[in-house]
Order: sequence, then C-alpha cells, then structure tokens
Amino acid sequence: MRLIRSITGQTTLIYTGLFMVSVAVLFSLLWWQSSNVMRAELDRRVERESQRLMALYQNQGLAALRSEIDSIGRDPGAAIYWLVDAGGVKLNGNLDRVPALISSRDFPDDWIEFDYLDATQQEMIRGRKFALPDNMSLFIGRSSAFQSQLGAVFGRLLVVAILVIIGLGLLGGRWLAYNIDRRLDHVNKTIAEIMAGDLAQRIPLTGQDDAFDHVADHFNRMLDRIAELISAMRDVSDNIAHDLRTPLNRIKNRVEIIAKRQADGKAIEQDEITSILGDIDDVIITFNALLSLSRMESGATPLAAEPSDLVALVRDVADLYEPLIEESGATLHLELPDAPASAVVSAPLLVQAMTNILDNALKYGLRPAGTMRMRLTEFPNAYEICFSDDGEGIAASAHERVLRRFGRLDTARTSTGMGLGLPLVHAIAARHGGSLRLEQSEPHGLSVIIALPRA
Amino acid sequence: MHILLAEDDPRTAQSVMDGLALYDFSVTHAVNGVRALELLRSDTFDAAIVDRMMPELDGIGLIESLRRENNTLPVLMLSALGEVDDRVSGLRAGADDYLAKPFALDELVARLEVLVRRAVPATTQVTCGDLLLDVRSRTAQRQGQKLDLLPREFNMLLYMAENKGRLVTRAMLLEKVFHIQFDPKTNVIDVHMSRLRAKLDKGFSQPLIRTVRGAGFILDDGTCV
Repeated sequence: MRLIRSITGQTTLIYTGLFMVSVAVLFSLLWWQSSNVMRAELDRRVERESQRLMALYQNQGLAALRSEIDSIGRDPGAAIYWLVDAGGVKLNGNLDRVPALISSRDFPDDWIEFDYLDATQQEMIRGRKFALPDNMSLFIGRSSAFQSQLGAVFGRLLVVAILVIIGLGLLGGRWLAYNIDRRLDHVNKTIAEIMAGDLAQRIPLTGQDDAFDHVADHFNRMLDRIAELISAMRDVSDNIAHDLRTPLNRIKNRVEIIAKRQADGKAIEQDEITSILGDIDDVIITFNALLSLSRMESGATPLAAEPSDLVALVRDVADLYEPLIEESGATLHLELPDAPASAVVSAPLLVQAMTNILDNALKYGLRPAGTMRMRLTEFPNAYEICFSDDGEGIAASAHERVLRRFGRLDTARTSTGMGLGLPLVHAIAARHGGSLRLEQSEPHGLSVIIALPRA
Repeated sequence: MHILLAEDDPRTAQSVMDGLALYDFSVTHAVNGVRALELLRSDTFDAAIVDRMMPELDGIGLIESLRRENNTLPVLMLSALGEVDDRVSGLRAGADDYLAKPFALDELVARLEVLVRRAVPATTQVTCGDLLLDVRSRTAQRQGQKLDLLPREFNMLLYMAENKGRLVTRAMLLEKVFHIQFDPKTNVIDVHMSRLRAKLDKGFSQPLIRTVRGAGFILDDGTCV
C-alpha cells in the first residue's frame, strides 16, 4: 500500500499500465497486418489455380479437368476443390462434403470462409467459386488456419511481453523510488538539522545539474538570504539594546541621585528633572523612529496621499531650517522652479523625510562657512529634490550601509545619531513609488536625492 | 474647566487625570466611546480628550457621531498611532487637535488651553502690552516703533499673541506656523525664537517672551492676560 500511495509507486503503476496497453495494441496491429498479408497471398494462389484449371478446361475439356482435379486433390497440402454441375451435383472434389451453400446455385462469386470438420480435424477454409461454362462451377479454397495460429502465437508472445513489462516495471519503480528517496533524504535531513537550530547546514549538490540539484540550489540560496536577514535583525536588536540602555542607565543614575538627595533632606534641582525628561525623550524618539520605519516598510497602512505643491513643501522646510543652518555658520541656497510642481504625495511624510536629511546634514555634513543647497528639479517623469552639502561626504562604498537601520558610519557608536534617519527617508521615498540615492557632491560633500514620480 | 476623557486604558486615564488635576481641570472619565457619547449628550463640557482606539466605539466614530449631532465641542484626539498620516485622518474626522502617545503633560495642557479658548473672534489687530500686531498689513510695532520681521517671524508672533499668557509648545509652533506635523526634536524652534526675541526686545527693557523650561514659550509682559 505504501508503494501505491508513494509518488514513485504511482508513477511506476501508471507507466507499466500504459506500456502494457501499448504493447497489446502493437501486437494486435502486427497480428492483423500479418493476417492480411497471408490472406492476400492465399487469395492470389487460389486465383492462379483457378486460371490454370479454366485454361485446362477450355483447351482439353471437362474430362481433363476432372482428372486433373482428382490427381492434384490427393497431394498433401493441396487446395480444396469442389466441382458441381448445373444442377448443383458434385462432379469432383477432395472433401467428403461441403456446406450446402457452396453447392447451391445462389452461392455468390465471392470469398467466403467456413469451418470444415472431418473425422480428424477442424479447419478454417477460405476460398471462392468460379463459374464454368454450361452453368458448372468450381470452388477452390485453402486452409486459413494461419489466422488462428498467428493469433495464438501473438497471444502467447503478448503474455510473455506483459510479464516482462511487469517485472521490469517493478524493478524500475524500485530503482526510481530508491533514487528519489535517497535524494529527498538529504533534503529532509538538512531541513531537520536546520529546524534543530543549525542554520549553517546546506543541502549537498550531486553535480548532476538535474531538477534535484536546482531545487537544492534554490533552497540553499534561500537559506543564505534568511541567514543574512536574521543576522541583520540580530544587529538591529543589539543596536536597539545599546541605544536604549545608555539613556536608561543615565535615567536610573539620576533618579538614584534624586532619591538620595531627598533622603538627605536636600532640595531637588530642576536641572536634574529636565535632563531625565530629555533622556526619556531620547528613548521615545528611538522607539517612534523604529515604529515609523517598520510601518513604512511593511506598507500596512495605505498612504494618505493628496495632490500637493512640492515647491511650497520644500519652501516650508527651507523656511524652518534656514536659521538653524545660518547659526551653524553655513548658508542655505534654494533653487526652485517658478511654477508650482504638483505631485500626489503625503505632505507630512515628505516633510519628515526632508527634515531628516537636513538634520543629518547639520549633524555630520555641513561645515562652518559651507553651503547647503536645496534644489527641486523637474524631469519628464519625475521630480527630484536634491540636498547637497559641501562637507566630507560619504565614500560611495558606504552609501548602502547608511541606508540600513543603525547603519551609521562611526563604529564606536559615540555619536548621538540613531542611524534611523536615512533608512526612514528611503522607506518614505519608496512608499511614494520613488527612490532615494546618495551621490558625491562636486568637489566634495554628500548629495541626497529624493526622486518622486510625477502625477 | 470641565473636561471629558474617553480612554479605555485605566492606567493611562489615571495618569492623565492626575496630571490635569495639577492644572485645576476637573475631569470626567468614560471607559469607552459609547459611554463618552452618552456623557457628552447629557452634560456640558469645555473640551473632550478622546483616545483613538477604544472598544465598541472608537475615537474616530465618536467624533463623527458628535459632529453629526452638530456638537462643536473642542476635541483633542490621543493616539498611540503617532504617524503623521494618522493625524490627518483624525483631524479629518473632526478632531480639533491630535496628540500622539507618549506625550508630555505640558503639551496636553497647553493644547487644551488653546482649544478651550480658541473662539477668539477674527480681529484685525492683536495686542499684548506695548506690542501691536496688524493682521491685515502683517506688521508689528512695539511702543509705536515698527519691528522688522520676516513673514515667518510675524506668523510666530501672531500665533503667540493670539494665545498670549498661555504656554505655546514647540510642537504647536511647528504645526501652526510651519505646517510641520511632527516634532523633529531638534532645537530648530529655539533658533527661530531667539531671533524673534532679539528683534522684539532690542532696545526695550521688558522682554515679552518667556521660556518655560522643557515645555515652550509664553508671550506675556505681565499685563496682557
């Protein structure tokens, strides 16, 4: 039963069955064709015999014909002859009797077959009646036993062939099952090991470059990708833990100090409370940024996009940040088209993206007496909002890293940045069907470019 | 001032009530939207604080029902969904203001004060002590002396003057003056404020804008409340 349920068992059964049917059909065709060929040969011999005997009758008369029939009719393996006169009475013949039909006047000039039964044997006879002058007729026939003999031979061969097919089918099925099970065993074993926790396991390839190898290869590559993601996730959790532990630790210390002061009957400084609140804010900001990023990337909620004027949005942001940029000693250059640039966007999200970029620039990119450029450019299919500073810039090889969560550049993790700003900008741009790219400014500095599709 | 608080989480509700009590608000608590709607129909309140996510009738549904009944009570929506997009949908449903959890108590109080007293008739002139703002010509003068303000500086000053004597938080200035729906948590507003102050107080002994540490700013010369 297990064999029948298994795929290899079913495949074997189906193919063996189909093969048996085709062999049976093939044998039947062969039998039929051989019978036809032999019957045609029989018919030709009977026709030739009739022509010879007709000629004899016409040249030498009835007596010669009758004596010839008597003479050849006795040969072993001879044909069957049955000569009757106009009244249907037998004149000559090498059979004891024939079916009444042959003697009758109505017997057609056509090929017939009949069973002849004599004392010793039963035979199939095939032949036809030839008309002679004076309303006499001569039936010439021959044994057509080859038909049934051929049938019997083919039947026996068919049985043997089917037995061989069943035998080979079972053997082949076992071989197929063995092979497939062996290959699948590797896969199952690897999966079991992975489920047990060893994510480094991979399915061995046989190098046969077959379907099994292809599946195994895909599976292995999927495992690689999953391992990568898990490792990234682990990094992110480590980073979150680190980023949150630091302010939490400070909060704890300060609260301890306050508790101690209170116990000592001393006054609590307002400064201490303010700085605790500041640290709590930092924790909240980190969580909010993480949540925003997750929600943005998952695309769980529909984007509340509306037709907006990008020129106005960029100008609002520039308006907000201009004093801050000036305080840092730099100047803000704004390049905007004269006409409104209409696009279907979530204005609050886009503003958030732009302020993130400017915060980054203020923190890392902008040098005193430097220049911050904000430029909105229209292309046939897109708008690009470009933010260029003339700071040190970021090496092209690190561009990808800063777009990852917590992918900030200093490995010592000493700066206050959370490493979530640019990833969020990236997610916001992607959510709008646009993109974010980083480029090297000329001669130095970083350009952050948000590209948005035009409505 | 009498406030209705519709909030299903008892601990959040308790902390909000404790906090508002410090500012002499009297608060009635409703544990869900349905109960809140009953209370709002039967009693008079100065404002409502409505949590967005509640069982039975959520905050959006509650506000929509309220507005359908032509109730114009000032409503502030609270939500754990801090996304700028959520804010838009909350305001669309008819909320007058929107605050994401977690929030500072100062922020909540400042916004409530503004909401409750918002029904200031549109005037052409706003004053605070010796400060005079002309809304039409968008000019400001102090003791008759014209101040040279940038448009954004005038807008900031106007918003603060309209809410003179009351705390105005950084987030409120970002929203109302710069149309920025979230707080970038940088000192961006402080820089604007220090520039505005420099122009406002230059040559005058009495500073008009007072900083409330960790919270925001108050436009107040002590005479204009």
